[in-house]
Amino acid sequence: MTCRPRRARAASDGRRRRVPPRRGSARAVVLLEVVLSLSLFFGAAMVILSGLNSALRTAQRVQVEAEAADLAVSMLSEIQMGLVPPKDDGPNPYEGEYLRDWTWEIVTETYDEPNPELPLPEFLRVEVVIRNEATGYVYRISELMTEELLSQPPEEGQEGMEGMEDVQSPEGPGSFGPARGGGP
Amino acid sequence: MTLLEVTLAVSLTVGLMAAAMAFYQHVVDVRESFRSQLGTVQITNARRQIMDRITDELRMAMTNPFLQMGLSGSAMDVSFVTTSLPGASVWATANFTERPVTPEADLRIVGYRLRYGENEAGEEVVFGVERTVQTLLTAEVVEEGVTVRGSLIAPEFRFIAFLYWDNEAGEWFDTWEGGDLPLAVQVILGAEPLPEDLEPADYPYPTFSRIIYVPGGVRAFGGTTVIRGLGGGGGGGGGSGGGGR
Repeated sequence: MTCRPRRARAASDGRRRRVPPRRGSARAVVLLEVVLSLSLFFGAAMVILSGLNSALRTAQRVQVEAEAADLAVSMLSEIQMGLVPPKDDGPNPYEGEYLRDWTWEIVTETYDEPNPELPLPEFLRVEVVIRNEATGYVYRISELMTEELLSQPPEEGQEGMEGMEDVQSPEGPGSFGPARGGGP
Repeated sequence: MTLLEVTLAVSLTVGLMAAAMAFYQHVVDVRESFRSQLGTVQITNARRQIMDRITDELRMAMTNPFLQMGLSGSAMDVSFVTTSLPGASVWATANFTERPVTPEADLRIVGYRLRYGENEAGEEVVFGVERTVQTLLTAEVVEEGVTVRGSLIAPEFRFIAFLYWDNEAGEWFDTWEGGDLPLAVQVILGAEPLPEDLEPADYPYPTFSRIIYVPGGVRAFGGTTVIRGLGGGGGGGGGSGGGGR
């Protein structure tokens, strides 16, 4: 018994016969389509999920930024008020449960007057660095100050935050008093 | 259909369903997170905006010697004289065929307070934080809605409180009156209204606070009150900072 190809046998019959597609090829095409559609589905799902996660992280970051801005402006204000000395300090953690992930740092740098003939005061660049250890977020704010512009601190025996401690709420994010509990 | 094909089809179906379920579950989780954070995000944005705005305006606050006014405030409202740079349109050169440019004031009295109103049941409720502006400082009659215009800027916050730093006393006070400025103002915001039977200092809900240094504020300097920005920052100025509070 010899085996000959169909096409050759059809040609020998002198008639044209339609050759049915092989079942194996059709299945392979279907499988390829399934795999392709699955890949597309997973790709689209990954893109959508990453977008959702990114949006969620951005929402959380906005809160961290707002908190950091409040802490930084408050710290810089306390330096300008004379309650906190403008000298290198920290990083120091804040006290209180709500601010346990936060630290503050003061970095100072003196700008010497390049032209001593100019009657300009000596500037002190004070930078406040607020860090959130949990997210790694860092917020910096700086200002040039002169010794004259720095306010006189309260007299001895007066604690700078004395009046604020009286009005602190018992707990919760931020309190009626200062948002931070610690300080130099 | 071979066993291999059946196995493959079943595994693909199971994998697809598992992925779809995982995706659905994750979307549900994210949606819940968004739902819980949506209000927080809105509050955070409003907090940032209002804090920055008050900070900018307080840092440009000044004592007006003609009005004898600097800052006047109580525990839950404040108003002060502040400066602002007029917009670019004021400086544009216009010929006589064009409409005259609306004048802009570089001095204004800005205030922050809560806006109260009645709900459908007729109960008094807090609508939010309101900012008021008075551009005509020398108006003989100060009338709400005419010379003083108010706008609701933060309906997310229904509690606002202020503390004023008196550098001479070295304490925070909840009122400030007189013709000068405190050295710093602490702004406290809360999302819930203050319960009727409580004082602002006893506000029981979470708050957001910021201490804002006021460059034009008074300070004790060798026993003399100095009002910076007037008279070159030396001597000058009268009265003691924050007296009578």
